[in-house]
Amino acid sequence: MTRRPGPAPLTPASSDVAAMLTQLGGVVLSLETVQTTVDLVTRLAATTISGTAGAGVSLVDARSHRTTAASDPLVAEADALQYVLGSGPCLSAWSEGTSIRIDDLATEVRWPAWTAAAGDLGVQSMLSVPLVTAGTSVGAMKVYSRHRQTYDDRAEEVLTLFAQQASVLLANMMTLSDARRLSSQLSDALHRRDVVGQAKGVLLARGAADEQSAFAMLVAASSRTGVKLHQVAAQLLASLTDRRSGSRSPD
Amino acid sequence: MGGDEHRHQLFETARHRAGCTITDLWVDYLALGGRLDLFTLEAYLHGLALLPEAQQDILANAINERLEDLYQAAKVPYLCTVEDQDGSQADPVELLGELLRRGPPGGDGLVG
Repeated sequence: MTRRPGPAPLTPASSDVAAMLTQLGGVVLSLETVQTTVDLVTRLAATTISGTAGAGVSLVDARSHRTTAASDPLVAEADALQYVLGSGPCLSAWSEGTSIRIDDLATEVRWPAWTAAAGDLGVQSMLSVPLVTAGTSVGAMKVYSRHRQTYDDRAEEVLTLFAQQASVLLANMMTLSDARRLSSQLSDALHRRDVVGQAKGVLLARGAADEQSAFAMLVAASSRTGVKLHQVAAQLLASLTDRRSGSRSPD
Repeated sequence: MGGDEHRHQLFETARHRAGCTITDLWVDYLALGGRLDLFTLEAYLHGLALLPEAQQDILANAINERLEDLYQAAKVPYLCTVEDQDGSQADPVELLGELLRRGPPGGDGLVG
């Protein structure tokens, strides 16, 4: 018996993910920042994985800047504990690049300090999967439950599939955010460079031997007065226009 | 090509101390009139390329300003101060005039 050609039948897990992806896809173009993307991904994870008290996403960019989101204070507290203690299932999922599931915190023997503290908060089971892009772990996504054995293999599969797609989106948002940042830095830099260039020209006109000497004069004036070099340059230019408008005013 | 062959390590150490990325440093260097691209700068910092002296001085100013910011931010403020005790009241434009009057540079006194 041969299967009819066409799309593979949707398993329950993939249909859940398909619903989440539809929502992700619809907002890709409208999302503004890494933070709003992380918030959305967190919200979707919390509503899709049944029995979940709260979901969380932690992301780290190339500058070691951490972006986190939590759909519930319970998640924020349980996550904060991991950072304070320096160990925990989500940090392991992140660093080892594997998913980690705890069916019952009371009987879990790994991360004893965290399981005891999180158990006090009311967490009884949890599931964490890494966010991996281009072979690099950039963070972790997790769901916490107030009941034991909330998450089964299927939940793990759904969250893993979801994390794979979310990783692509999050990585793109981080790249976009870097590009926006660089673009605005470069605009500033070009403006300052123009001012420094004009100031060097003024110094050359007034007798500086060459461009390098003119720059060295700006360095000297900057380091002796504690005024930044580009501000020294701006002040030099301002002094010229002041003088000119001053000499023009009596006319 | 300026200074000893391990000068690039001074830059890398300073960059790490200032906690800035190579891209951040390159943007600052560009703003000060630096001419070389990001990849050449990165190669220099790793000891794989040479930088003309003038470019090294521009890079030095870029990184020294970063270090200065860090140092200023780390200072403990005084409770009782007399005005402008840090010497920043000096006018950089007047100082430039003085440097120009001193005649052709390359002699002493240029770097404060």
